[in-house]
Amino acid sequence: MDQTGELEKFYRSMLLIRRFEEEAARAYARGKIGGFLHLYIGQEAIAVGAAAAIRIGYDYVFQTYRDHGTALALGMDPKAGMAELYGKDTGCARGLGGSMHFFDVEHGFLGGWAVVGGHIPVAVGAAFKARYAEEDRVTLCFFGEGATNIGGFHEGLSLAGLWKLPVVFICENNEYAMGTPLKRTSPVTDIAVKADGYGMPGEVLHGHDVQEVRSRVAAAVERARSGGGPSLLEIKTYRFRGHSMSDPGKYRTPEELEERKKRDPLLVTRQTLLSGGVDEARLERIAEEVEAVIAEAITFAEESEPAKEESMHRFVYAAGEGG
Amino acid sequence: MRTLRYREALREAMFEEMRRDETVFLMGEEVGFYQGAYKVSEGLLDAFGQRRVIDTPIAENGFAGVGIGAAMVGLRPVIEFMTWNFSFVAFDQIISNAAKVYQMSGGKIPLPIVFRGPTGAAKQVASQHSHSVDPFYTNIPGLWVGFPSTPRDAKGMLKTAIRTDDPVIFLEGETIYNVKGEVPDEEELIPLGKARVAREGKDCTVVAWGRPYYTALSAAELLEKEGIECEVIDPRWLRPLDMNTIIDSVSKTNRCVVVHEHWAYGGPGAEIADRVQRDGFDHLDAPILRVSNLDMPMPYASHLEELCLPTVERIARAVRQVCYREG
Amino acid sequence: MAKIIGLPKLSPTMEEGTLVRWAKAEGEAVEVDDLLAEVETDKAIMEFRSFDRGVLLKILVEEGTALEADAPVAIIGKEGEDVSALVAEAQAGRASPEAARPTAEAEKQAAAAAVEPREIPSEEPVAEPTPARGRSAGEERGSAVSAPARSSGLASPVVRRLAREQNVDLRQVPGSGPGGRIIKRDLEAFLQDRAARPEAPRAPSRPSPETRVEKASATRRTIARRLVESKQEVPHFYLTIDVDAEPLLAARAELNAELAESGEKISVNDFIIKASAVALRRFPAANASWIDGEIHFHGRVDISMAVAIPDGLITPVIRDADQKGLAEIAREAKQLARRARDRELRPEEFTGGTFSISNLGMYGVEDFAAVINPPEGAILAVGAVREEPVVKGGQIVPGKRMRMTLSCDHRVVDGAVGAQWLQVLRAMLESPAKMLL
Repeated sequence: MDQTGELEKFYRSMLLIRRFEEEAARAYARGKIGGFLHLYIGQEAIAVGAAAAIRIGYDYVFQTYRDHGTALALGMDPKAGMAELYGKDTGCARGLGGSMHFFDVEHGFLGGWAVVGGHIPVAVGAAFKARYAEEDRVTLCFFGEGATNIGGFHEGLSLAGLWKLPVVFICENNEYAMGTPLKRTSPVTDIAVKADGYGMPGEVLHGHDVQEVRSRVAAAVERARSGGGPSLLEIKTYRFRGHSMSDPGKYRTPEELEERKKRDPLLVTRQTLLSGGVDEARLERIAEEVEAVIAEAITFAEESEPAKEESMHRFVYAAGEGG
Repeated sequence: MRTLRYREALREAMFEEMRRDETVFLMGEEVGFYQGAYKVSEGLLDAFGQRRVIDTPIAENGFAGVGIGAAMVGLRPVIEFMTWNFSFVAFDQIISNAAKVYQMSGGKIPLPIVFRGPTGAAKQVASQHSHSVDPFYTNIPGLWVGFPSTPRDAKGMLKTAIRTDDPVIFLEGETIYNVKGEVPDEEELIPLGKARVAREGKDCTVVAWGRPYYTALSAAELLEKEGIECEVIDPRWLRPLDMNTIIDSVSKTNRCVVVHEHWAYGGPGAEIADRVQRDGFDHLDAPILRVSNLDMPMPYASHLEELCLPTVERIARAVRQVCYREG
Repeated sequence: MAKIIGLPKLSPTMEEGTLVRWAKAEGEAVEVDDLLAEVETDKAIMEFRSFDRGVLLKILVEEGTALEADAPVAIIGKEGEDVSALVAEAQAGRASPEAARPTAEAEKQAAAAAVEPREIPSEEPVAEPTPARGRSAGEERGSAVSAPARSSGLASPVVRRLAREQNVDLRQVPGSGPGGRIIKRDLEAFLQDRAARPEAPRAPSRPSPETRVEKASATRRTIARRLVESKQEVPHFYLTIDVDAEPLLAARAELNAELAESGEKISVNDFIIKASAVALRRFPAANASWIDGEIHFHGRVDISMAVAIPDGLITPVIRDADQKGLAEIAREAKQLARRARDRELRPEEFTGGTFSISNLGMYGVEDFAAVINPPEGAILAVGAVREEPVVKGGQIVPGKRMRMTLSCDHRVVDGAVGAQWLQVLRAMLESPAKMLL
């Protein structure tokens, strides 16, 4: 595939995520979706670029509770995602997990995890398995910059560095740990330097350029796959919405937001495509295709059967004790 | 008397205690500039400044330990967990350190610290965010555990907790922060280990706290129409339990239903049932029943979540059963 | 140093006794093991021997006084000691005998106090941080629970407690709870009914001139208590058989002719003791007791025989009756009966039987049912031999018949078991040679 064809594909994937998230927000406002809903709007290039850098379905991917974008970039059916948000039996976790716990084993997506930092050692465990089984699988582990202050991050990186495990740690630095800016939560504001203490390379890159993300992640993945050990990639990004639907995001100024929106990965990619000779009509057609997919996902979610009571009893170990 | 929301009552307690005692400070995630994830600490940063209202990184194990160390040498920290679900990474600090310092030091070092925050299932926040931590912390000797159900108790109990020289686990109902209730104008401290009879009745003792306290009161209203009078008791403190109040009630009603938003295997619900059967055996006319969360991680879908939590109907059914009014 | 001497407990079941006679007078010297007094217990007149040496300084109770075990009866000390303080102490103790025995309420409070060492700090709003130490919950708590009443039916704990307090036989109360459990509502309905029912004819409120009121003796009261317990707790049922007594009487005549020279004599009752004992050995299911939810099948056959004594009855035991010959049984029975009437039996001689026989035939009673002597599982009530026409070989001829009724504790002896045992018994009585098998 030529450069433009690849970028067009990335654009389509990012747009799908953007539209999925926008419609999820709308459904949330209508009471169709409950609980916490953390949107990925603004960070799409990271998921899409990283997904393009791995062998999907072979490599392992772990994400936080802000997990829709990564799951969709890896190829999860938007119908299964939307149905999960709607709490339907046809959802990717049968309506038991909701927004924060997307899972798609077929595409190697091993979960959205909801306690900050808790999944980092778990991802290291998946990398450990690959080495143990003498497979050349690589594990991608995503987290936010807020997670780099918690024990799970430090212990996970320490073990991965010690044992030179095939894992790529991707810190999506969107500058705010919920409502607190990085400078008030971390003694160092360059997350990448934290890699030094754990014997692995740390790199910084920008998250609005999907192709750069793709190529830099690919390099780290290649190093891991070939026995070169783990790395920490700090990808600078920004979320355009609040931390979750219940966060008004008052801690940021409108000016700051406007400034950052100039580097909206969708906007940037669109401009690159147009300047590379792709015409408006073509992008319009992509948008229409994406609209159709999203509309189908919503209809599917609306019409599916609710999550089954049987499921909640069935998928539990050692349940039914006490009382 | 004024009408306050539960969260406002908690804020007043912290405000008054911080004004009263310079060694009291509040530390946690988003407690300052963000004004509290649940707005419990709203305004405190403005009133007391960054020295005493301290935002932390996401590092519960770390800042719980910092609180313990500060308390060992003279401060009186209030440590907020954004939710108690996140206290699990600080479990080691609370259990191995906070609960043990006084004993390990041969009684030389008191530990005046309060760990507080919301607990219980909120609404559709799924398995990792829906824990009721009551059973975990009530199991630990060396910790007081309080769980207010009303704004009045929230304020009076938190003030007592802050003034107590022991570590206190202070559990707040995530879903009842908005509940309004009367709070006295004058200062009130709710004594440690004292329960409250919330509603009198002669037919069945119902013990409940937190959100299920309100569910139990609704069930009592429903049952009243059927001619069953429930006596609803709010234990307020889960450790130590005020068994005298509960046994006195059971000796009158001869029946007991314990309602709790935690799993049924162990915990204060099982503890209350155990002590009622032991200390009130000769008063019982029926087995003690419990209405609890179903024994499974909380599912996301809202209709399934409802099935997992104690409901008015489940409570009413249990009460009818112990009153032999069904079947 | 002078001390108060209490009434000793002289039998395993003795709760109270009557001081019948003082053997020493005030001022007399007392050696260890000297006879101090005679005490009528629930079953016998027992010797009360001194454990102390000294002088009997003061006798605190008159002869004929009924007392609880351990009640003060005398003061022993050195000659000339002042005992006025001890006398006052002893009398204060007796003035309110209840004081010594904790009431149910006091016991409950004591238990509650023992299990509730709850001292909650900050009762009052405190100005200073509360020192609150080591009072977390979770200490092992003593049980405040008393032993449950024995009952064959299901009843809730509160019902059992109320039944104890209100003296209700729960077997009379229908249960409406799950599995027939008697719940509080059932008991309340029963009590209301009971209150509404016209009472059984009461004793006249004022004794008429013909009525003599007499304090019941210790023996009488023990009998009363044991019989009430038996009828309240033991589910009795009754099986009656009518036996051809002719073979038995013939065998007895024959044996007594043999024994004529020795002067000994075998009674009908001795035959029945022997036959019952052998039947129990051959059919051991009837030789059993219900004890605290367990069934004890006895390895020995010890027959209690009811003996009337002046103010009641007593049941001396013939041990291993199945292994003893008729002559030996006859001798032993005669001796035990005499010693029972003379109040000479030791407690071990009238306790621990496994089966009882009561015979009122000598009074001409044809047929009666006896009350079980717990924890035994059954009692055989034997009536008089009757002469009456019987049909034999198609002819009406004069015959001799005897009725006996077996009262069984249904918890251990079912109907069929009792009936089969009676079959074995009948076979032996109607063909005495079978006893020898």
